[in-house]
Amino acid sequence: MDKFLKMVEKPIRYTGEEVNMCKKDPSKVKCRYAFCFPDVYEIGMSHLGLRILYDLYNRREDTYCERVFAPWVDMEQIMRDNDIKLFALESKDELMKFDMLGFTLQYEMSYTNILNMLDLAGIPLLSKDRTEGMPFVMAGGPCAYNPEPIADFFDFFVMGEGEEVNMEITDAYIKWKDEKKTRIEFLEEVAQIEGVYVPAFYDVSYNEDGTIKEYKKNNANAKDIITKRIIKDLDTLTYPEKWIVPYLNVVHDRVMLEMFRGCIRGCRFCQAGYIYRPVREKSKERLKELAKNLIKNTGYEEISLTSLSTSDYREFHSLADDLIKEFKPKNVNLSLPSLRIDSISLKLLDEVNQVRKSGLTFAPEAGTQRLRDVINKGLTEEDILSACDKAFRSGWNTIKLYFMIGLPTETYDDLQGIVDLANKIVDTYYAVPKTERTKGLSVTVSASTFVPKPFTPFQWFGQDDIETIKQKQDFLKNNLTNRAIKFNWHEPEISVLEAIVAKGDRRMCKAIQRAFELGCKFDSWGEFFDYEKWMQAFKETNVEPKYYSERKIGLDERLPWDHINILVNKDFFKREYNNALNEKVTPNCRQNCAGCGVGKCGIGVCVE
Amino acid sequence: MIYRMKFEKHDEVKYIGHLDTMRTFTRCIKRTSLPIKFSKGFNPRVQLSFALPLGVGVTSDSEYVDLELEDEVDVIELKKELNSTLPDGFKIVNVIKSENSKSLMSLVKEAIYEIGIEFENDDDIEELVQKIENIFAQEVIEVEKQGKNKKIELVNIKPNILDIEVEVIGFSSIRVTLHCNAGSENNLNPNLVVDKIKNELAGTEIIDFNIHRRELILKD
Repeated sequence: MDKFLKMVEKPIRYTGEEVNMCKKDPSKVKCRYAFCFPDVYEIGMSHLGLRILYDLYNRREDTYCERVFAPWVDMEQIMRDNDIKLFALESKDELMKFDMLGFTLQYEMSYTNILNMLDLAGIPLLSKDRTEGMPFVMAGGPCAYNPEPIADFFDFFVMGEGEEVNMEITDAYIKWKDEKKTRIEFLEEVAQIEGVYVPAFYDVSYNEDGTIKEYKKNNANAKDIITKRIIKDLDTLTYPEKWIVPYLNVVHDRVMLEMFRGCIRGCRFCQAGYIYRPVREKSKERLKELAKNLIKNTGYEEISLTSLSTSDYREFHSLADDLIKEFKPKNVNLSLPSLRIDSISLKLLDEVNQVRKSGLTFAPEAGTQRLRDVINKGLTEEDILSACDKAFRSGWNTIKLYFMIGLPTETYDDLQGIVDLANKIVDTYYAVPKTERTKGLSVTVSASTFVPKPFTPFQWFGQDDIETIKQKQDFLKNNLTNRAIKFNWHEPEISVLEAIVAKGDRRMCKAIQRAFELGCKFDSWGEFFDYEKWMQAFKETNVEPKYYSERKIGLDERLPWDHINILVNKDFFKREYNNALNEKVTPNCRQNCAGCGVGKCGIGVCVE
Repeated sequence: MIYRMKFEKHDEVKYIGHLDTMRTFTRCIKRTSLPIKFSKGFNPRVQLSFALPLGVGVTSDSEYVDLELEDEVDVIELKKELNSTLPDGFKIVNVIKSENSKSLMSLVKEAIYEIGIEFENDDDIEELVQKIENIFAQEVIEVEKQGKNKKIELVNIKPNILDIEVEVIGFSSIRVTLHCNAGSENNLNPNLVVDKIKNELAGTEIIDFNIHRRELILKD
């Protein structure tokens, strides 16, 4: 191995042995679990879920959890040329020696990497081809809520938060192993665990028009509806205090402190806003204790408060103050992403960011109040302009704005709204007296392409076709002409593919497999994304991509993910769909319960 | 208070580049209870200064780093504390309180590297040794080097080679011991020597090679 590592870029991606890596004797455990992240080390090691589950598994004496990442293309070539099988970082053992492989599904564009990793491990891509003695291949994470486009590749899926259910699966596995039963018997066992979905236990039939007719169980142990798992009390949960400190500069190279799960906001395009419901917070005392231990165990110079909308934490300002008091003398910085900018948070940013005033970021997502009401983004132009005014007066000069184009009901008036808003920010800057502002205004407008996602009120909408998206991008390019404004956009093809795959059903599996066979991998990396190859894959497998991305789905249609229950009712999504069309805003969870259905759990924000 | 520490770098951590090594040391020191002295200014840092960067993949018995602390500490304790928190592969072997005000970097003058090369085993090893000796016996030894603005230029490495010895150490492997200039004024990157050997022996399959810094020579 040593001689090969000298030939690759960043060999330290493959060596492990970082501070706080877990070392165990694999021969002394009953279950060897490989946590597989289908992207490179630097991305995977920035993922909180990996760290949580790694820690949780390794707290068990009977289990050893190791990490596996997608090798970069140079390493893959060497592995294929020299018949080196994909291995885990801790023991360097190949994956076939493991009992279970768990893939995390963070984004659809990583699916071909999963197949590439299985292939590099010498493990059959299809669940049905795996035989006794081979590892079980499971998956979880946000994209697992629509497991259908990758259903053929996995033995089972886990819906929801993994802390409890993964342990139940491990217990079941060890029991099954001791009893020396067959592979199918294990799947029958886990199919009975709440939150576990075994796709092979369901047969799908289709109507003549191509829509789904029904899901029929073919195994008595399978459930009709698979309900996601949630953790009731986050404070009693363990947290990875033995935080692995990578040698490489990974994407999020800092301590990540999870303040809460879920989001109260309910933006209608945002899947995360629904699948992680309800909002549950950790106590301030617990967070402070964790922060202290994590800094002590890692020596990190930065703590990031991570959650979907940081400042919605009820005691946010007092927590931030306490952390600053504790860590400033130790030269540990506080990083505050996903902050809603108002005057109080500006003061806070001022405090944590005394030296370099990095940019302020706003995500209005849409250019007019009408469209912001459609998407339920409760951010007004006045909010933004008054925050910008205050920011300019206290020394900021860099503003970043995030928008989406192609949102449902969007017209060119809404696009003009993006241009107007950006110009108004420029005007706001120049309205501040010269002596009070910092020179060199920079306003960056980024426009991504709307992707309709399952389990959102917008799941029924179709996406704009590529031509329309390009025309809209051109409109912005031509109209954002102020010298201080920079416009960023992406080629729409990748967003189109994302929509196709995200809303896919089981017929999509063949297309994804074909795309992999044609050489698609690292699809989220611009330099490898090959739209033409994907289109070829769809053609060869008789999958009509526009059927998935552009078609407006009927509200009464059976959706590919209807047998998954995220605790938010389909009726609520229908109501929200109509509210969107009526440009009607739904208050956030703390203002008024909108009756999404998750309240029946009786926890978190629902009972505050 | 400046403490001069000599350390080794072996095993997997040899793949950590120079910047990552600096970060690893910084975080390691921050995990201890040592009286850290931070630099002044907007971006306070642990005061560490390294002698001479070590290439990725190169092991070493002889690395130096200066650490500045707020108060005086026991050198044995300092060594113990750091070794208990440094990742495996790094080992502090010696710590002295430094009275020298000059930067470590400016004291580096020479280095001794051991370059192990493993050949395909059907080659005549004695003949290969002879060939390599011949390369370095020349008056001018030109190698291609990526200069500034990424242009490839030819440089003569002969003046920076103080001594070179080639010996057989196994059935199909040799060791080149290279004594050369090092530091900020005149420096020879041992990879250039490896490249030269590879180029001159084109046609002979090199299975593996490894570079080890045996000694870094500091002079006042």
